[in-house]
Amino acid sequence: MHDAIKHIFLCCLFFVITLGTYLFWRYIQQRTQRLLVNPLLFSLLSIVALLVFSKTSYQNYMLGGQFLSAFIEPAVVVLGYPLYLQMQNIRKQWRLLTVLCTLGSLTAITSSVLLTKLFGAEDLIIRSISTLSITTAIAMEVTDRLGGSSALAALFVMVAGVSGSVFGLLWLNFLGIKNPMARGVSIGCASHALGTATIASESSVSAAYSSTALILTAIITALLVPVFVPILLTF
Amino acid sequence: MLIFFGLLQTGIIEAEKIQFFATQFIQYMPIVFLPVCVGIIEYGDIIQTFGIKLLIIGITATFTTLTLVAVIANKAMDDPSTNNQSINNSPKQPSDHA
Repeated sequence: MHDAIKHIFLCCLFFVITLGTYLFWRYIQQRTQRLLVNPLLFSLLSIVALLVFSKTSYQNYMLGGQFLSAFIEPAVVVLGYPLYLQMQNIRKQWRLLTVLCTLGSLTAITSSVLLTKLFGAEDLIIRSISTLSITTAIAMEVTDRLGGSSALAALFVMVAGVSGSVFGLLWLNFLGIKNPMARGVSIGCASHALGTATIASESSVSAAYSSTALILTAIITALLVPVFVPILLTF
Repeated sequence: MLIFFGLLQTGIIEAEKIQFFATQFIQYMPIVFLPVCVGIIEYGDIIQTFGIKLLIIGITATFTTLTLVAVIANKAMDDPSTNNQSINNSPKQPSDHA
């Protein structure tokens, strides 16, 4: 009985903490009007710090966190809405979009694998990094078949997603890329669903192009990695 | 997502009806990924041994991809809300000629 109460308490506690932390940082960002105060990154750091200091395990945290994670799939589904709004344009440009995503996919694979080799990391890491720009589920599956570690693959996917969400929009501003289509495609291609979630609140055009790019890139990368990475490994 | 898109496209779900819900939900979307991201604390040892290097590699690869695709896409696609781009381009053109 006691355990059950404790269980329910942890569920509520971590759910409220996660929600509260995010809303807090979002509020701060809106008050300060600075893109760099990214609510996702700051909430992530706050929660990780809290868990480490209180010596709470990730399993215990997920008792509450799972209620939010359960919405990942519905969230991705809702992205079908901006896609629907932009379909007229996207249908006309599908060839160009495929070329762009193939290019992006090749760049992500080549640069990540070659850089890892350059840093002299072991084979397992090289085999786990090439799928960093695609959505976690597919990345883990592809990496597993390639003989890499799917846990590591998930970690790299996260690095790509978080860095793209946090600094991606600033970087695009810095490059002077204003076209919402170009912003969307590049973010979707490099930072999958996490980047898309971030750019979706900026513009619905970007959201649609980002969603298209993340689907195309995931498919193309899943096809290219098994062929391309073994070739890169022989260099 | 594709099924949902199909239902919208065929008019089985009416886009106007879900507009409010969809736009609100998208505004707060990153939060659903937060608990999964907190999962990095599970990889403590890997991060301690290789951490910074892997972070640098991951970020470099991501931004190389981002930059390349963004620059090419920006050249290849016309801005639909042309105001944005024409405002952006017009001050440049005179200076090019000068």
